Formats: sequence, structure tokens, C-alpha cells
Amino acid sequence: MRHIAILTEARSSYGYLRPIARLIEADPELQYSLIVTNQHLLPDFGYSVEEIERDGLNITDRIYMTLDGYTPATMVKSLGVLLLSLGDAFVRLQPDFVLVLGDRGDSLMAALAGAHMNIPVAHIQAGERSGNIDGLTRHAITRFAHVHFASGPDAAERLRRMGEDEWRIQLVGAPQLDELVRGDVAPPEEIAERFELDLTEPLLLVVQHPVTEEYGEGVEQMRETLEAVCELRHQTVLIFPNTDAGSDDLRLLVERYHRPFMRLERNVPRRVYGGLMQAASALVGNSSSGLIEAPALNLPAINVGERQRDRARAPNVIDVPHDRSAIADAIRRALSAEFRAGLANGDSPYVSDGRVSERIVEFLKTVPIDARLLRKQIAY
Amino acid sequence: MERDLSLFTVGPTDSLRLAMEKIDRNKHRVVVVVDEGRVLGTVSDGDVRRAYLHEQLPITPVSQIMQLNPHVTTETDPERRRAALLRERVTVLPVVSEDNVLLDVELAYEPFAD
Repeated sequence: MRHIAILTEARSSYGYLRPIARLIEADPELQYSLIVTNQHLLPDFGYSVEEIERDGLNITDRIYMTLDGYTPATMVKSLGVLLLSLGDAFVRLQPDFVLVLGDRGDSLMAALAGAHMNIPVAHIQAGERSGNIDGLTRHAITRFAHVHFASGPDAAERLRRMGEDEWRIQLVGAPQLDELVRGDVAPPEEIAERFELDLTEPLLLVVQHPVTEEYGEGVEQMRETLEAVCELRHQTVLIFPNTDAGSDDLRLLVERYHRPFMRLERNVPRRVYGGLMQAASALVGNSSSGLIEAPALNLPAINVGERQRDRARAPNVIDVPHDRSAIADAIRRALSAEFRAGLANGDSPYVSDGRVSERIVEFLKTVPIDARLLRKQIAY
Repeated sequence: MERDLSLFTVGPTDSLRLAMEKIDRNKHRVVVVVDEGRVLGTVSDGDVRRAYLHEQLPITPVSQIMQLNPHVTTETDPERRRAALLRERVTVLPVVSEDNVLLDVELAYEPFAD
């Protein structure tokens, strides 16, 4: 029986690892262990580990890693704690595969640990571009990973040019779109009731994270976005930033800007986030969901600042600098009927037919685990 | 009547322990988290109980566990405030300005004398 260790560090990624875990569970030839860490275990983020427990998934490890302080130095030390702990976890679990995703440091630690311990590493969302430290991290994971799952042709081509073997590059599509394509999101009535919203009126969804390279500027950047939101006074649901350096100051600022037309949420389940995106009139901030998921829903995304600088984008994205009047203008434009009409059937670099998770699991199940897989050569 | 709000408010960095003490003394099961005059959230005795079950310490700051979207009212008319309180079924309803500055609290019942 092939045993796959899956790392999950936050609710955002857990949502699309869950269908993969379920498929593995249903397959008699496969088993998995879920290693839960970082944001999942923090009260500030609503203890999202409880969602995993309710789902009944097989959590084998809870790795507490996040040092308080949320500075660049604590980020590094926190990752060190994770790396230390993963070494022990892999010795005990003896997995046949390590499955990681995205562009976060947590995934890089798992890839490092796996590659050093002769356990093949598979990486979802390989080869995409993202700005700042996340982009560096994604490509560093590629170096340590033995299998690369690409979300679109553009990402696959980048992996090829990075010198990765053709057979290691699997163009499967973007698994985070599976649920959206299948319509498996919270329906509008549920969203309206849960957040006390009137969906006949415009709804803004705000998700803005601090940017590591711009440490110390996050508060002023967030202030510009919040000023724009306060000027327009549309009903707004704002989701707290992640645990990157500077995030605690951002959370306090957001709490201070709280107005009666706003809802603040520490964290929402992925199904609810999908429902919010479906119900929203525009997404504001710097979340990758504005570029990856939003096009599938024809949702306009006001992308603020540099965090997503290098990421491929569809016509739903309006790029603006950290400037309150530019952000407010872009929101007004996004809410116009003309803009929304122009998005119908827009092209997106991120593709899904609703069966991406199946293809990932099938490949993990069937690829021979042998010297060819484990001995990587990077050929230019 | 000017109400003394000090037993009904804590700051975001105040501890769960202090919140619980004020909840115990104000007899209304809830305190309002206020920063520079503005309402950030509320903490109820149930929130503190759940935090303890999650192995939070008495020194944990209330900002980590507070409810972020408390029911508040901007009503100035006493009868409408009362109606809002009953509608929301809370024991403490913060009365705020349009800018979310705490002005008063509407209480479900008058506290018993000690």
C-alpha cells in the first residue's frame, strides 16, 4: 500500500487538499497521513484544525511551529522549527511520497526534508510565477521535488525551461478550481444569512496580506485599501491576513477600521470562501484567489500592489498601486455593468475540468518509485 | 444617567483573566473590547470558557479570542435601542457612533446590588 504524507499549513490550501485526501482514502491501494501545522493550530486564525477534525481526516501530526512576533526573523525561526519536526515525523511515518503545494515556506521545508530523506516529493501548483519571497520559494520547491503538477501550459513550459525532465512535469490543471467548476460552494442564501448581507446590493470581499519584501509598509498599504472601502461604504466582508511578518499590526489596524457596514472574519472554510467569491461584486486586495479562482467565476479583482506582480492574469484583474483614490476608482470601475459584461467567458491561464484531483492521485499511485524517480538531474 | 463603563470594557491586549474578572463583577456575561474609544469586539464568558478548553492561558490577550462582529446599535432613541437589544437577544448591546466609538451600553436587565 502506497503511503502519502500530506502537509497542510492553512485553511486556504487545506480546502483543495481535502478532495485529494478523500480520493486517497477511497482507494484500497493508497493511504495518507495528514501533517497539520502553522495557522491551523493558532487561535488567531480560528483553530481551523477543528474543521479537519470535523471532516474526520487522518491527522497523524500536529506540528506547533509559529513563534510569536510575526517579524522576518520569527518567520525564519518558525520554519526552522517545522523542518526539525518534519525530520522526526518522516522517520516515524515512513511515507512513500511527500505531497506539498503552492509557494509557502512550510511546503519548502517538507520538500527539503523529503528530498534529503530519499522520499519522493510531489508539488502541486509548480512552475507558476508569483512575486516576492513566495516566487523564490515555489521554484526552490521545484528543485527538491521529483514530480511537478502544473496548473496550465504556461507553468509547464516554465518548468521545462528550468531544466526539469519532461516526464516529471504533469500538466493536470488547477485543483483549487475543481470545487468551483463543480459548483461545490456555499449557496448565496447561506452566505447572506451567515454574514448578514443583502445580496441585492454590491458586496466587496477584501483579502490583503503583508508582503515580506515590504516589511514595515503593510500597515500603510492596508490603510489605503481600508480608506477606499470606507469612502465607498458598500457592505464588505474582510478576511484577516496570514501569519507573515507584519500581520499582527495589520490585524489591529483592520479592527480599528471596523465600521457597521463591515464584517471581519479571522478565517472562513473554503466552501464558504468560494460562496463569498460567487456572491461578491468585486474582490479587493492581493490574494492569489483574485487571479486564480476569480476568473472562473467572472469576478472582478482589484489587485493592489506588488504581491502578485509576476503571476499570470486574466481580464478580470485591475492592477492598482497602494493609493486610496486609485483603489476606489478601480472598485467603481469593477462594479460597472460594462466591466462585468466584458468578463463573460474570459480566458484564464488556470484551467480545470473538475477532475484535476483525480489525475494527481492517479499519478501518485502509478508512477514507479525507483532510482529514476529519486535521482534527479537538472539539465539545462 | 451616566453609566460607569469601566466594568463593561477591556482593551485588546488585556488578559482573559481581566475580562473574566469584569464579567464576573458586571454580572452581564459580556465585556466590550475597546481601543482608542472604538469598539473592536466583545468577549463573553462562553468565549473565555471555550478559549480555556483550547488550552489558552489566563494571560492570553482578549484580541485573540474576541468576537469580531458584535451586534451594535447606532440608535439614539431609548425605546429603539431597547427594541434592538431584544431583537438581537444579547445581554449587552454596545451603543456606538457612526465611527464605531462606544457611547454607552444597553443592558438586558439592571444588575443586582451586591
